[in-house]
Amino acid sequence: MQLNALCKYCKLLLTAQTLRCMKITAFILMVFGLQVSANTMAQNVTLSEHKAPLEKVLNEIKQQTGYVFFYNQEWLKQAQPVDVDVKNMPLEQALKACFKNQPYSYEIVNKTIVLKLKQPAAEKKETAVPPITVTGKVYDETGQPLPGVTVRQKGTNNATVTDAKGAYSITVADNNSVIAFSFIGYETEELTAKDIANGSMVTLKATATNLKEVVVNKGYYTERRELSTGDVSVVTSKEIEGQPVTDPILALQGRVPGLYIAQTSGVPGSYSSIHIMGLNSIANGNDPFYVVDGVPYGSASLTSINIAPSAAGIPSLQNNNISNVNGRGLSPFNNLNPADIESIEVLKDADATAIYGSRGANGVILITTKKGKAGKTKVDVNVEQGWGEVPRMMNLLNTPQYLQVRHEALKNDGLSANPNRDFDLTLWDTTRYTNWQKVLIGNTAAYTNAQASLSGGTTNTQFNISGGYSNQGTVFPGSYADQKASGHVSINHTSSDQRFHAQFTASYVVDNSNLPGLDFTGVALTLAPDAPALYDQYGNVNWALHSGTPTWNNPIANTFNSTSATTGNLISNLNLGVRILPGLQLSTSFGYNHAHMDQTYLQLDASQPPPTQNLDPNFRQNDISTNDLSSWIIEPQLSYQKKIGRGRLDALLGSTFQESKQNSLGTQFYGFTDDALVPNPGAASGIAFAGDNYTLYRYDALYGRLGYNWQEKYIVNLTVRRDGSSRFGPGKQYGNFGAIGTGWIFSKESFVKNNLPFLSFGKFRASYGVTGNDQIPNYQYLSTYSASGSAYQGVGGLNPTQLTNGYFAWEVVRKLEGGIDLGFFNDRVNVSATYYRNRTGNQLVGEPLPLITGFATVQFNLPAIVQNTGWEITLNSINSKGKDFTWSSSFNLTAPQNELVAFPNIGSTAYKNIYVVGQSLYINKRYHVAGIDPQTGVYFFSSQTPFKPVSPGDFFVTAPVTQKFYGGLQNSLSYKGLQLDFFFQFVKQTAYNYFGTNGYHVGGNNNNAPVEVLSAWQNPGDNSLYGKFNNTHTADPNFKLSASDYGLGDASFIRLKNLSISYQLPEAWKVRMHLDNIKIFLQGENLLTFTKYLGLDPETGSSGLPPLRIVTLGIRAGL
Amino acid sequence: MNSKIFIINRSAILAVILLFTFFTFSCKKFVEIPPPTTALVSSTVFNNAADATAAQTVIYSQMANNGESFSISQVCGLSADELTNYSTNNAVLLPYTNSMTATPLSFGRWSAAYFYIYQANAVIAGMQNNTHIAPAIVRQLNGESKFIRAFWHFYLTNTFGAVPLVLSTDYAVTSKLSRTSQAIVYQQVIADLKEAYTQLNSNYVDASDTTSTTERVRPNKAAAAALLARAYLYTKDYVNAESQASLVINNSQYSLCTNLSPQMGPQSVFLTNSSEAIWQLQTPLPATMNTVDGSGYILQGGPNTISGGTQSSSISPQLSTAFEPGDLRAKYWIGTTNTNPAYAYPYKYQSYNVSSPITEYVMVLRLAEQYLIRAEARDMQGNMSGALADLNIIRKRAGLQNYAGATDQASLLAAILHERQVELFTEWGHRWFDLKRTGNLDAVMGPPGNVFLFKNGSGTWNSDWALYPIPQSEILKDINLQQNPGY
Repeated sequence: MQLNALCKYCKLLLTAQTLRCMKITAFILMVFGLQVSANTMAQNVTLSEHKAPLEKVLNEIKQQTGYVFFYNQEWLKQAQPVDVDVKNMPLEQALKACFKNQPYSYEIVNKTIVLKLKQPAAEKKETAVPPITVTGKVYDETGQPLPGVTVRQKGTNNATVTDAKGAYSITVADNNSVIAFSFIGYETEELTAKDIANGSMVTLKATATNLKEVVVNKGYYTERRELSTGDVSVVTSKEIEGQPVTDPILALQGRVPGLYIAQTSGVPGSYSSIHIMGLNSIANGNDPFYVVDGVPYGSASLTSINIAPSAAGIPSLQNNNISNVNGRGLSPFNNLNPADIESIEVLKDADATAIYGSRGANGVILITTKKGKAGKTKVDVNVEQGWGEVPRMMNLLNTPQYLQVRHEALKNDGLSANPNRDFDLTLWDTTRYTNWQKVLIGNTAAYTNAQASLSGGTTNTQFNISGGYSNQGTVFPGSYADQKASGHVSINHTSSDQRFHAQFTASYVVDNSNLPGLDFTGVALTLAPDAPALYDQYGNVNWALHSGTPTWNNPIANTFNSTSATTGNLISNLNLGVRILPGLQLSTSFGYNHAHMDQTYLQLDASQPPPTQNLDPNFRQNDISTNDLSSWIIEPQLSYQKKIGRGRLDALLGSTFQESKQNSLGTQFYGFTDDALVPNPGAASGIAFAGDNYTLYRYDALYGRLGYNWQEKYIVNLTVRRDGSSRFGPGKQYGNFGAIGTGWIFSKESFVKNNLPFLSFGKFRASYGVTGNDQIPNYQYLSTYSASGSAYQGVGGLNPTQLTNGYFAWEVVRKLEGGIDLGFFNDRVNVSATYYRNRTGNQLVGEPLPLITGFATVQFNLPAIVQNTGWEITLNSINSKGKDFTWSSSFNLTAPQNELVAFPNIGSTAYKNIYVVGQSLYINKRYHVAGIDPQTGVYFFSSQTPFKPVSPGDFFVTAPVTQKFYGGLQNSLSYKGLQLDFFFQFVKQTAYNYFGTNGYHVGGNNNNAPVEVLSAWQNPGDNSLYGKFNNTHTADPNFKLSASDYGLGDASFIRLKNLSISYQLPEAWKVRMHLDNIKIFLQGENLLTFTKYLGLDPETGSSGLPPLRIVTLGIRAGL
Repeated sequence: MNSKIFIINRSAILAVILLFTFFTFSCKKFVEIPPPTTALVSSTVFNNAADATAAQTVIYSQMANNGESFSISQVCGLSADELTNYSTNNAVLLPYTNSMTATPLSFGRWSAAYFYIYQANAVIAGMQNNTHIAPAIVRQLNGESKFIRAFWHFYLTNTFGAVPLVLSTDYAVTSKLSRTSQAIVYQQVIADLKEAYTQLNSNYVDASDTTSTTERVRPNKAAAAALLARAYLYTKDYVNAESQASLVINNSQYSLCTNLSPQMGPQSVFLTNSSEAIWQLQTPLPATMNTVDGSGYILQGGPNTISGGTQSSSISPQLSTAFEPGDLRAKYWIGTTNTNPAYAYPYKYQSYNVSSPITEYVMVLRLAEQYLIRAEARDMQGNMSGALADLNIIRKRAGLQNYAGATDQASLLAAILHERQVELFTEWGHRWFDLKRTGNLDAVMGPPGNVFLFKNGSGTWNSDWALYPIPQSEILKDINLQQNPGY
């Protein structure tokens, strides 16, 4: 269907633009014609060369005459140095001079000189020795056979790969043929056939670190890390596999400098807040741009806003960056299978991101799935089973303590327990004690993960087919789970002559999330400890009735209302490439992504308390919502590589065509006569429209890159992009972006080599560039009316839905970065330090409006500038490397800083109460609690007469509510078959504590509190952190505490994020079991947390479920 | 052969260049996208009558669905002496104890009211110099939107005092408005209503804006006159109050229902399109209840102690005891639970659930109020006999004898205000507004009435609490807004 649409579009283009097209063609032809006539002018040649490479001479002739040479690059290897000295000589004669001693003949066809290898070469071949066959085995440094190694006769297509035992057999031309052994992650080894025949063993050395040889994926092109001028971090499948997570993004936590991921909830599948290098935008998306196998992947939750929330929440309409929660709902990344992922690249600076133009402002995250490798067909199976639980519970008041607080609160307010209101004191059994955390979030969540894959192939064609299933339960009462089944296929083909290349990947994930209608954490932390039992003696929901009405909101009633979401996610990509000329490659990438989510929310009468229970059939509801997202992308690309002088040029020209369409519809079915009928919408007596949404996003661009490195020492990388986005109004759709990156590998300079022998690698790099941000909702330039879903006088209503100004345009980010990469002791220790400064101007904001305008926001460009600066430091070292024992560590640290540099006239805007120029965007403006009055126990606020209401004029600027620094430390140890990996995440930050999220009112009805409050003010003269207990806000008569800095505190933590122990069974066992490989492992996530935070968890705060501690046991086998 | 390859390659390059050229030149068209299928661009809405009508009538369906009648009558009733609260939820507890705060909750219908005003202003702007829609329809829609703008400014100023007067949809202007004095707000309300009166049809129209219907669900001339009568009364312009009320009372379309409730017989006051109705809100479809008032006030058992609104209040002792013996309104407009203890609740709207067909609409303006307005206006002009006649019409319908007390101006005024208390209770905040406009609030809430203390309020009654606090979030966003004193 999509293709049809595309064709239709193309047709349109053809008809509508034929005329323009013809003009363009004529123009191009004219230019070509001019070139040709210009070139025919010079027919004589002047050359003066001594021992020059033939290629150079040919280039010279080409330049002087305009004649083009046509030859196979491979042949030039046999060329002899040229000695020639001619002056203004006709071309024919000059050629004769040049080709005197060369093994080629030539022929002039039109303006092209076609070279041919001379016959004698072939004659020589006939007389040469017959081909010989070489056999052997390839080992790694530990003596293990290496399967999958490419064995190639150098300079030819003649190649094979080693089998499972590392054995190979190759037939080569003669004894002197050079055979190259190459394998990813190992240094290439070259030996002659003669050497091997004489008994030389082939042992491949593992690449010391990933610094030099590893190829860095920058999306539209790749680079060797050594030569990269950009700031790119990589997390590989090895690190992802060691973590029992079902959302691959969570596997990045703490591992990438500059990337901060805050899990917002421990409910399986929940959204995480992800920021690269801080907040660039005051009000808009600060989400990185995600690309999965070349296909842009939406970072917005598919969870509908037209349906009641589940424990994972619903996404908020407006991105609220200030509170650091980018909407909630289910994470779109939960619809990817971590086991299918080969690597995740995080692109940060201008050099790496400018080629993404308007989408690269907040960084780019490239997810690449696994591809097959040439070699024996392999089957890998991985099965693990685990358990999850809330790692840390809060210490809350028990019943006697709670009752004491309550009685004192009433006494302080001069009240006595009201039998119609204070049920916790008058009606409930005050001898009861329930630890609600244990009851509501204290269960064990099951975790199951099973994956299988089949991969292999020949040198020309490789494949990988895999499938998986995972299931993660919850810690809530009741049976809820997030289940995922997935399939993934990847096929690669390269023609024998290496001219054509095709790659196809497709993955499909079905996820079924079934959650209660509420995250019980908030209730568990606040419910009175003497609250009644969940069920009465008959097993019914216990409402503890008082004259016919319930005395509490029994949380278990929420389990009768459930939400389920089923998501199907297809991502497929086809990449076709052809080499047109030596060095010139044309390729086109076609991508398609289709995600569909069906949600239902069932509201049963059983969840409703008496007396209204059984009275209203309309209370029973079955809400259905569908959300459908489909997008396609086509990217033709032309790349060219050429050696020029002593350097190498990489050029790229490409174009992007992208469309994304989203449709959602919410329908409410109501009026069921019985709870049992609710799942069937057909049994409803009424249907109501709950909202719909349609958006179309289109984007296109032309981009280019020029990279040049001279002697692999001096590197320049230029990227440009011209972009159009449909999110902007007419005349504002286009923007130009670009960057320059430079590098100097000073370790290759002889003065460094001679003087600093311990320095094995050293590079300075710097980049500067401009990227943009178009992460605003679609159609913001239109002022619109939408259907109200309700009919009046039989006619559906239209209500205004959006204000606009129509003139807003790109947000522009200017990124500056400098870094140094160092390798010591043969790259056993690698250090890298980076400083960045990103400045975002032309801020696009949903300017907050007072509601007297009718609306809460309007889209606007503000001349404000936000600056993010920071240091990133990474350190990798191989601490010990012996025959049996190896130990390596890696460490990263990021210290970010955010500042609102400029904001003209902030005083006359609504932002004056939120931000301060010269301060971080993360600050809050709040009342400052100066303490409590020792005489009365009442809170008072700074710069005010105590107890008088304070106004926003008394707001104080708080410390930035964000991270001061963060990072991680990974250690990997292996001894023979035993491998131990452990990873610590550390964060220094300020955040809201228990009081900041759950309210400050201690002593109120049905409000439990942390035991710390027992030190509250009790008698005149007491000095305490906590005001007097109070039932009716008498300690804070004007409700100022909730707008104060009272709940703000240190939320730093060090977490043993991940631990993985694996044991590779001995060789003999494997042989007996006919397995290539068998490993058992134990993995743990969020095992230990060290923190002084007053609250449930320093990362998720104190209102939602914290990240679970998950421990799994598993086995991995290869056949 | 090699040359052939080269030629092929050259045309391939040419093709690639052409392809790229296509992409670049077609960009402009590609990223210019049509508006979303789920929305209409505002500029096109007022190009045809059907869309323009839908943009106006949506206000009525929002007012019904949002339960404006219930929200205003409950919060005002709790603030005054009409309702007793049982809930611990601050949304109702704070109004009840007269301890509202500007943060974190907001009280009164601030944001909803201004959204209706925005919509009305959009229709007014759309009707200006409109050449696409028939003049008769333009007049009706313009009249209705002026009426709505006046209606909501009236409620805002009575709730918050001086309020921003919003007469435009231009946010550049409206986002910086400061508060306009109540007198000027009233001037605008009266001007808008006068204009509405000249433009509206005298009969009720259906969705075509011109054809008459028996459904009294859109404002007509009489509705404008009725609200105008009230605005004049509140601003103490008794001459005009009387004349506007007379316009409605003398209109043969309207007559007092003889039955107060369906229990007394058909054609009772709160049924759909009753003869007493001047303007009602139709129940929008699809519906899950007849009226929000019915399902919000009718108690099924004891009052809810957790709810932030519905079923959390009962009739206050002050209101219960205000009824004279034999008052049929106490019998038919107050319901009682069969619990022990029993709770009394407002029972003007008697269907808790949805019925088919729908039998009750939310009453906004009704004839009985016009008699009481005229009675008060006549009394204040010294026309005691005229006032008495109007008062006794209302008393008679309630099964009471003619008023027999003193007939001096003050006594008669007190009698009329008392009649308003028992006739108009829990309808759109009448009691709270009456106490404020007549200067009786302090005496009722503070000593000697001491309702404030009765309601468990802490401290002593403060006259500042007559006005609700302006939401703190608004003051933060509009730098020209000032808070009311006392908050």
